Amino acid sequence: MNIATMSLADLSGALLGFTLTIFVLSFIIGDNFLFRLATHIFVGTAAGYTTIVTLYNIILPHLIFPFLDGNRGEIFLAVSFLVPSVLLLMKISPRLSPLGNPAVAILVGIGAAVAIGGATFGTIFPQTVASMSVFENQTFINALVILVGTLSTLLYFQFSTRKNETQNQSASLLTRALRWSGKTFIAITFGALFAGVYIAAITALIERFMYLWQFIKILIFPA
Amino acid sequence: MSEIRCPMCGKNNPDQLEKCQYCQARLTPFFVSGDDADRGDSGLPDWMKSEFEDQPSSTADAEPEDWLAGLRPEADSPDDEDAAPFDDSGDDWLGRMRGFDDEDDADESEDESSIFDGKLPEWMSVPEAKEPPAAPEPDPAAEDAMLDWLSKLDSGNQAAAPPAAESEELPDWMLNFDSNNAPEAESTPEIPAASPEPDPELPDWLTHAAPAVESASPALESDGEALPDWMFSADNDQPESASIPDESQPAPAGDGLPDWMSKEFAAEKFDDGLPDWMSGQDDPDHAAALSTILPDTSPLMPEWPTDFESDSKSAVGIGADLTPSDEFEPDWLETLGAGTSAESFELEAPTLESELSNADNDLFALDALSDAFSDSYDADEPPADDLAAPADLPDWLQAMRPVESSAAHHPTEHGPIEQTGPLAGLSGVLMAEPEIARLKKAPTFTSKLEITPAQQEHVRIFTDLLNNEGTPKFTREPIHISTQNLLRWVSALLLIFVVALGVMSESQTVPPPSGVAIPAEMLHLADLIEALAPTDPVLVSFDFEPGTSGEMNAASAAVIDHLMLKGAYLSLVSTSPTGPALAEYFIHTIQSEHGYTSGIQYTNLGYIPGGASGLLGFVQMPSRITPLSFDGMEAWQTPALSGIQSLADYKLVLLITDNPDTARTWLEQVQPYLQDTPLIAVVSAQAEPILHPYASGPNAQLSGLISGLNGGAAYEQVIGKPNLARVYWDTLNYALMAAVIVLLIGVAANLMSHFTRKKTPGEAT
Amino acid sequence: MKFNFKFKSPVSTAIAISVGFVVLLGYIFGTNARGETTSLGFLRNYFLQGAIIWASVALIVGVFNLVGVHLHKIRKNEGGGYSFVLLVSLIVTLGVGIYDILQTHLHQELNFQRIRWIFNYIQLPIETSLMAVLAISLTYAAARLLSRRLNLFSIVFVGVVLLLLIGAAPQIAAQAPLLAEFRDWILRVPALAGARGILLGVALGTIATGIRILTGSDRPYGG
Repeated sequence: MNIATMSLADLSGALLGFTLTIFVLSFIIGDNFLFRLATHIFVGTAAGYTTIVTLYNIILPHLIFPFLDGNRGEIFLAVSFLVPSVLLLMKISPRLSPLGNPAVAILVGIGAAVAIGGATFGTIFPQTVASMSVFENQTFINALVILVGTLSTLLYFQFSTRKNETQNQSASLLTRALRWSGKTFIAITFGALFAGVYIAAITALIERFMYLWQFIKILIFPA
Repeated sequence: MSEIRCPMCGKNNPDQLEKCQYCQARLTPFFVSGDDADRGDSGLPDWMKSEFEDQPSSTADAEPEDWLAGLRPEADSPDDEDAAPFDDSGDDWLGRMRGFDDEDDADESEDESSIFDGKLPEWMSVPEAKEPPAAPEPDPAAEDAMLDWLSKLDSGNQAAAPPAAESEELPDWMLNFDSNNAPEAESTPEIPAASPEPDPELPDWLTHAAPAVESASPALESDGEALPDWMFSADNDQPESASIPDESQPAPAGDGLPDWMSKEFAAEKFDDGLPDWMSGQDDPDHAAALSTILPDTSPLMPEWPTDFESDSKSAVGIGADLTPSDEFEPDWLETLGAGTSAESFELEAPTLESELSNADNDLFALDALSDAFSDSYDADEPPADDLAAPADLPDWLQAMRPVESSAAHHPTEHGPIEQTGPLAGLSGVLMAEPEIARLKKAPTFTSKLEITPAQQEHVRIFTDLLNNEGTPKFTREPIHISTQNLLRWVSALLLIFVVALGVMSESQTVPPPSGVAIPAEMLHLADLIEALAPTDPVLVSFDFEPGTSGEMNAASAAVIDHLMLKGAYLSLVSTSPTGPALAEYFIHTIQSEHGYTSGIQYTNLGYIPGGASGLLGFVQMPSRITPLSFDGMEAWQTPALSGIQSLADYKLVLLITDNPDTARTWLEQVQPYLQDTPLIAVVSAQAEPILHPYASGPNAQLSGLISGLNGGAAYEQVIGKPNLARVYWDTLNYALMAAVIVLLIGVAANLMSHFTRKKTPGEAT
Repeated sequence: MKFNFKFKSPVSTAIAISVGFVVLLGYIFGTNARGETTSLGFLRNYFLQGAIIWASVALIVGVFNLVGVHLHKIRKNEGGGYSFVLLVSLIVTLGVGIYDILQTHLHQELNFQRIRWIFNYIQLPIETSLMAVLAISLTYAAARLLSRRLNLFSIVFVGVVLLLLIGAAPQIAAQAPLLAEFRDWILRVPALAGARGILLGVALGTIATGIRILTGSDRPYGG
């Protein structure tokens, strides 16, 4: 990248990005005015950008344009979508908020059904099948570990839902062993997740320093 | 022939008579002698002296003193020199005070009672040595106007002329009182004679004022105009001796005196003896001593009189600044300042109540007195502060002081007068009704908080102490570097230093993963892409947030590069609002070398809201959900989407995400409808553990998985073309090593701290 | 005029249940044996399209709520300066976005040319920098992993994190291939077992929650 070939918009944008990056990184020292300023700018732009994208991608094509150049079927469809949308907009006003409940109920009903279908057909069935066939493509030890780990983790979820001291005391040795095993597997999985999050964050840090260094290089070595 | 009405009996007499032919009361006023004035001026201020010096000439020559002169003519009468003492000071209140003293003493001293026969005691006869200058005759009209109240005063005071009529109107207890105080009643006729005759110059308010007010000294009244009300109230407190007769007839007393004063005075008067504060006047030493010890010897006395007294004394101590008017503070005021009166009122009130049928009123009087005192202090007027010391009586006042009225007549000597039963009228008997059985109002105390300057100073100091106690003192905080803080700063600085060094060095010396480090599914993924023909449609989902764009760009750069190298037509979509912009950024910045153009080689379908529902809708009817491209074109008319009716028509679906939940949604909602179309994923390192189950096994839902910068670098090795992951690779290596070092140090420190830490009792149990 | 409309629980619940069942049945009966869309499938698709539109409207309602919250903060003077900055950045972004949309439809320009500048030089640097700051925080957090609690599971957690980070470091992995293999094994066997158990548990939980909504036991729509 060469500063001579950069447009004014790009140059000013790079400078702005550099400044805002410094603002946010100042949080390493501690919470401060610059960090708060940057985060509030971020929230404002993110909300505005999301609104514009939503408006352009969904609202205009489905609710506005059919009334401008659509046929009767499209207009009727748009009206049918428009009515719950207006009801949903009532949620803006606390006084009229209850009018939006039916629209929210439609959304919740659809979401629940989609979640049930997706979990059933996308996770339960495939993963159960994969667990049952684990011995086909893994060594016995690995397959056993995977099977025991899967079951114990699943059982640990069940035990973690309710705590009954009497039940716990009378739990069998096998049950306690499964619980212990489930906790261990979960600890391993969370450790792997933490390591992944940390690597992702370090990569982001590298990317930001790379960005800063590139900008400094442009300023120091314009050619 | 004009007649003059006897002020005592009210009967008319020829005006040439000096004494009433019926009751022998003097009809003409006394005159004060010039010697008296001379003698008395030693204790008077200058203005008072001048008043007396001017007297012989005329009463009307000087306008300001007219009202005083109007009172003086009676005193100037040469007829009766006996009355001189009454007019000595020109203050009726003094005369009345003397009269009051005489009344108190009358029942014990026969000599004292002789004054009412026109004979003065020795101490009072001294002023008679010289003849007073002549004074003009009083105005008869004005005199008539005064007769009314005089007669009332007289009748109430002496009850001498019509004793029978009086006794008929009075209640029993009053009759008893009258009988007990018969000499006293006889002694008072002189007082009206000494009372000032109405003067034409007398102001209206003085003319219509009640006897008690009228009896006040003109000098004091002149002062009183300048004095605040409280002072006036205090003034009225002393001359109450002159208003003794009013007690028997409440009406006149009510005209001029405030209730509290009249009632209070009644309490004083009907007692057998003088109160302490009055007796204290007999002996200057005693009065001084009394005023000194009173605060300590009266536990029942509230604090405020004490403060009042101390303040008065302190004010006297700086008497050098006193103004002339201040210097002329009468002794009664001084005594008042000593707080004795307050004490006597407080302590004697219950006893005196027993002598009155309307005891409630007495209590009201006490309340009023208390209020008056508190008000007087609250006002904080100079006169109150400038009260003279008790022993500082002027000579003239000491000379006329009733020495005989001693403290021997303590009210408790005889006790209360029995009012009921066969012992009615006797004093000193046990009371038939216990005090407690009487209905009386609860004493009302002032709600005002009286604080002396000294107390204010104490309060200030105490408040300062309290404030200083609560305010943390500024002390330089010692710089405390804990192990944890040290670890925090060291870890942050080390990581920043290593990353900055790696970035600025731009080194690419660390070898990328190769050989066994490249997983099998990555090779399978590369085969899938390699199998693509040019212009094959590929759906690419940019479902990551800008925060992880650094990692995701580096991880997916090689895969997208591979797709572009194969000439695949890309359809870009996202379930995140920022995804379409990130996709555009990626295509135009990271993979700009391929020159992909929107609407030709790729189409950005934009954002699909609704999460799983939106994604399922997109799977079912993609063209209806995303009719327009992100840059405003008819998306489904572009070459990239030609021939696409459903997602199964794509040759490959690539999911780029940093969120395991988003990946799961794609796997749950999209993958089941893809039929034979493979679904591959480039995910963040943080999503890899969760997505591994979908990528393992013979029937894995994910046909290929690349995770994080490691996966991106490995794929670059697979396709043999370094990309963005290679740029980050060395720095990631250094940063991870630094992080491991920090982590190891932290773990070691925590373990050491854990094992070397002393167990507290709670932990031990 | 005071509105007091309330869609009581039965109405909204009935809507949620009926819509949910239509969508859920559409998973099974949405297409016939020939792969053609059935009436139920059309009805499901209608609701799915509606869900996308109404979700967009709900997002705009959320932005209105954000605006309301920060206007309230400005009025109450609770960090009003930051809220003002947020609102200004939001309004500017909205203005630029609307201008972009108008330019696209009136002059057939490529869309989002200007708002993309805001995204690239404001939103992207700030959000990436926030992730970079997370790296610093996680470094410290990783160093203190054992300071709060020291038991078997925390030791397992820390051990896994250390192993995965060491194995991810290229030079260490190159010098100690066994360590890299062990890292790979952890990710593919025990971590996979735990993750599968978690996935199955989450899927079961999702199904349970969906069923509660479709049976009217849960009414998160204000009914």
